[in-house]
Amino acid sequence: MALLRVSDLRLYYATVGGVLPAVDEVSLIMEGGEALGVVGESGAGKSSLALALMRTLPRNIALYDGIIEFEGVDCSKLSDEEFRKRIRWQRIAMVFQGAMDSLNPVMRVGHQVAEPLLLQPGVSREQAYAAVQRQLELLLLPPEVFQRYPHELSGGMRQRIMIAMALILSPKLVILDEPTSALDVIIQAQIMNVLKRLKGELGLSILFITHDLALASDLCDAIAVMYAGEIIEQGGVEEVLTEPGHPYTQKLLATVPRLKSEAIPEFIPGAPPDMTHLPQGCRFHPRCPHAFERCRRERPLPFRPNPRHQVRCWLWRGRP
Amino acid sequence: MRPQEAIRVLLSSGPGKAGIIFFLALAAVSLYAIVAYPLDFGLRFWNNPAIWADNPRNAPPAWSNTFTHLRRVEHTTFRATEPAAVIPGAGVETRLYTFDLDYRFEESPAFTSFSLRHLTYYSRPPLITLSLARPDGREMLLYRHAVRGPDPGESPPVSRYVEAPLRVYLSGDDTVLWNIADFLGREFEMELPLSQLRGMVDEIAFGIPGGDGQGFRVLPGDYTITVAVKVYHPQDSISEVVFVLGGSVYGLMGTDTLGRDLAVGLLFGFPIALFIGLVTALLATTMGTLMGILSGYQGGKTDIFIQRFCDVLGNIPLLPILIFLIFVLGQKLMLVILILAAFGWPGLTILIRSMVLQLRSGQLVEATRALGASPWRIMLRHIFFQIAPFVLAQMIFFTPAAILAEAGLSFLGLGDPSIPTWGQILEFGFRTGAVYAGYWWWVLPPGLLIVLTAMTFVLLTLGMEPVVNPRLRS
Amino acid sequence: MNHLLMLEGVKMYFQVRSRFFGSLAVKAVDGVSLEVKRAETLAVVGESGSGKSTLGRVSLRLIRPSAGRVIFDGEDITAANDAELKRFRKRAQGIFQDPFSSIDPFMNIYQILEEPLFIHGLGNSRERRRLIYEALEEVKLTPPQEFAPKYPDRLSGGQRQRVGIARALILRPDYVVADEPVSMIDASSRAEILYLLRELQDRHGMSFLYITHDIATARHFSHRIAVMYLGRIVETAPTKELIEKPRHPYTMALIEAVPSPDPANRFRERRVIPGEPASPTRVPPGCRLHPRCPLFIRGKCDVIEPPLIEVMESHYAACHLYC
Repeated sequence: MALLRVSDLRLYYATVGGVLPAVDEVSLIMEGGEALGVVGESGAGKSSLALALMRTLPRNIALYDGIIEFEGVDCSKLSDEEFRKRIRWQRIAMVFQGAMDSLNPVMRVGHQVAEPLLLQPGVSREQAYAAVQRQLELLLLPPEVFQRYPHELSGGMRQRIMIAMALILSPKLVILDEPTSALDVIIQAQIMNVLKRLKGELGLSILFITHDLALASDLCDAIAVMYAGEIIEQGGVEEVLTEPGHPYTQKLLATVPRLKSEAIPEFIPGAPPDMTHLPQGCRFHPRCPHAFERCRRERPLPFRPNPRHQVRCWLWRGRP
Repeated sequence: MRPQEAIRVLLSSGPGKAGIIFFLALAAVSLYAIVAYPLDFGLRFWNNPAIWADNPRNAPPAWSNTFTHLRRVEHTTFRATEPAAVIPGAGVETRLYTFDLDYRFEESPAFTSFSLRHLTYYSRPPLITLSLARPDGREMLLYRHAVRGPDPGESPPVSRYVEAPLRVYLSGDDTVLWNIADFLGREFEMELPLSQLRGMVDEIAFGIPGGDGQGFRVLPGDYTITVAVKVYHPQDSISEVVFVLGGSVYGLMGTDTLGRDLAVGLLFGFPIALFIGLVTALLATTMGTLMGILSGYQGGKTDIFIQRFCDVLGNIPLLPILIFLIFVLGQKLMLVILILAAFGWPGLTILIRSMVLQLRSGQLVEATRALGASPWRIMLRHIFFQIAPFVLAQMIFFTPAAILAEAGLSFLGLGDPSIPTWGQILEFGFRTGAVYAGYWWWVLPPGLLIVLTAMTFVLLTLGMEPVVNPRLRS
Repeated sequence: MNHLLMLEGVKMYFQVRSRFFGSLAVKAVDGVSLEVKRAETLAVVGESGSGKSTLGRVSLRLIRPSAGRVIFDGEDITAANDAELKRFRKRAQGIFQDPFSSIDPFMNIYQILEEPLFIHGLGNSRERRRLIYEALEEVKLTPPQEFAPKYPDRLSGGQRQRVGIARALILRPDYVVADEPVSMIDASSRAEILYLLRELQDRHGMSFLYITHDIATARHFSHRIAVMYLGRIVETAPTKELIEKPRHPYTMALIEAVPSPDPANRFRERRVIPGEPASPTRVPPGCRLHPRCPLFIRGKCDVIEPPLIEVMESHYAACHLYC
């Protein structure tokens, strides 16, 4: 049984400019213990996907539907209250983008990490604090960090505190939204090492949101590439990185500047579409070097080059 | 954000829309007041007792009749400069000035008076007669007067009633009493002693005897007042004839204890309130912005000096200082405005400084400095424009504070006596006990107008909020 | 003379208030000497807090260094007066990180580009128009007539950054500091901006000081790289040499930390140095990296500050391994 099965998830916002389909017909499957990287440029809908999964939605929702099945439970059948009690933070936790700056500045971090636990019935303060200490250890943080205030910690340490807070209730799935984008490369590498270890030791499933394809390959078993609210390609990391099927993925891969090869970085001409006025047909066609008549007319369907790989592109249907 | 965009944002919010409509209304009324009345309105009209002499005192507005069970007499002034008819004769002509009065009130007039201005005659002095044609068909002679002849040494043309008009208070004039007694005897066969008639002139003129043989009841209907002037030379002239029906209700807004028309006073209060508010706000925000930019951008000693100065100025209790300065320097409106502005800027300076500090360390200032721009160019061309929406919002925000401060000062009796403001009207009302006497028309409107004007600017500030704080734009 | 800009022993200390009344010095730049050759791109690579941006600002004389000298085209401008600085600013320009906050949102593109010409009193209005249109064409905001009257909020991040570049280059400067010019631009457009800068360099021959945290872009868009750590340069060498044969343990760690898209990555932990940089207010004694260095030599690295020495031809490193 899959851990998470999402089908036809849609999350549209109502904005002044019109309806904005931030997440559009997204379907994905995650197995337990697997890490899935959601990769895309800013505005592609990665964070909105995370919010939709966590059901922490902003107020200006125009449409929110689709099926989210977690551990066999259809979440869309749960009321907000039930979802909050049974799923959120208990089973699915999240580290929000930029969250490390949102720690309470006047509370010791140990207590902040313990808070979700203290809200549980029948958990004593001692038990909670002991659990926090174990959690800090797991994240390679020295025990004295417990007594520190957020401003006394470096960015890397605060980000680990946020991860500890997400893991304190031993969730099955943790969503990490750009957990390292504000950090320097060396610290980023340290955190990625910690995440790799957690995934191995705890059998944790991770939904890893990033704009950096290379960083995603550091942790993830599977990758979903988002563009303009859609997943345009998904599959195992081998498939997506070595045989990218969608022209956008191919291009995105080529934009990564390589240190150890002579390949010069490329760029994708043009800019992502205005999300309230999407082009007809394939949303990438105005920037696509391979676009043909059908791309301009019809929205591509997902095709499967092989069972572990899915591409939303007419090229896989063959030219008409 | 650019101006046209700011206006669009302002108009897109409810409070902003309401604020703009109110403000336009205020501005239109102010403009009318300025055009319709001279700028020295205060001295020439408001504080000139001669203008208001004929008005009833403490009269409620005419429309208050709608709410009372008794229809009270509406104060009315009839004026004529030309005769309605001329009856020629041999060597004499009679000029008739007539005033038609539709009397539908349920009480007698408070008083009646008659006046005449600037009469010139060439041969014999003219003879003036005032009579009343009543709805019951009876004719009543009220008053007869022969203009004084030439003094020794005076030769025609002779002018009379130039400096002070001939003013006859009909209700208390002895010749009128005689005429009334005569009228009662002739028409109703009533013989009443003069002492008893005194004070009943208007009751009798606009009434008929009640059934009980004692009192009089009001006789409603169409009356005609005729002033007949018999002149003996065709070139004789009269510049104005006035008949006042003294009422107990007056005009649109009623009168105060000096008989002044409150509608006019309130109307002239509009431009003054706007002037006080806007000029004070403009001065204070200009000063505050300049100092704030200078303090934040230059830093160092300039900054410390300006900030300490602001601290001192901002912490001086304003009211005692104001009272003291006005006491010493005199009750002048410009002085009040200057003091309010002088003490109003430090808060803004501190706010602007903190914004400028943030901007100064930002990339725009860095980039512009790298281009080689002078500090003045950066401060005025870049920093000022960045904070301009905020400054504008602050200015609008400051405006009602200034209006309220002036109203408060006026209320304390420190207003400029030559310029009537709403605060002063209120103050005069309180001083003369209008509140305790229940003269609501005197106290409520100026209070409400102050609140309304302040609210207009508060609404505009609310509407401006999304302009200043982009996060509120959706 | 081959060197356009030279920094000699530049130190930049900022005084900050500490918890108790005394003040504390933030040693943002602590003794840096480097030179930028004509028509060269020198990349200064470092993490946040390494002092690389401060170094760029000192080299533009936007701030005056606490110690050391800034020499531009043979002229010492460390203590230049306003008039001398204005002459310098005509020849030295900056491109800044944030394309949203580094240009004035109240000016349209035309006014933004006109401002430097205005400040330096260049040309009459017709010549200025020609220069502005030329500049817009150079940064590929075409047709220029269409872009000139637009306001920045109508442009994408990449387009705004081109406006920033056009503004910096319209005076035809000899020296340009590009401080993280692409870090706030979408990954798919970064290379486009960097190619544009390279193309303009090929055409006009100006020198760039390319300040970045991203050693991978530095590898592709610079001639030489200087690596900074806690206010000092730890290694400098021609780009290819530095990437392929790094000598300083910090440079090695930096290169090792950069991920590249490879499906095999997830099966191995990255070799990475532990800990985080110290605060620039409390710089460790001796070698600044020694508390984190895997090759730490007790009694040497924590006592003596290693000098920058030439380990190979034009390859310098500040490490006791090579002394």
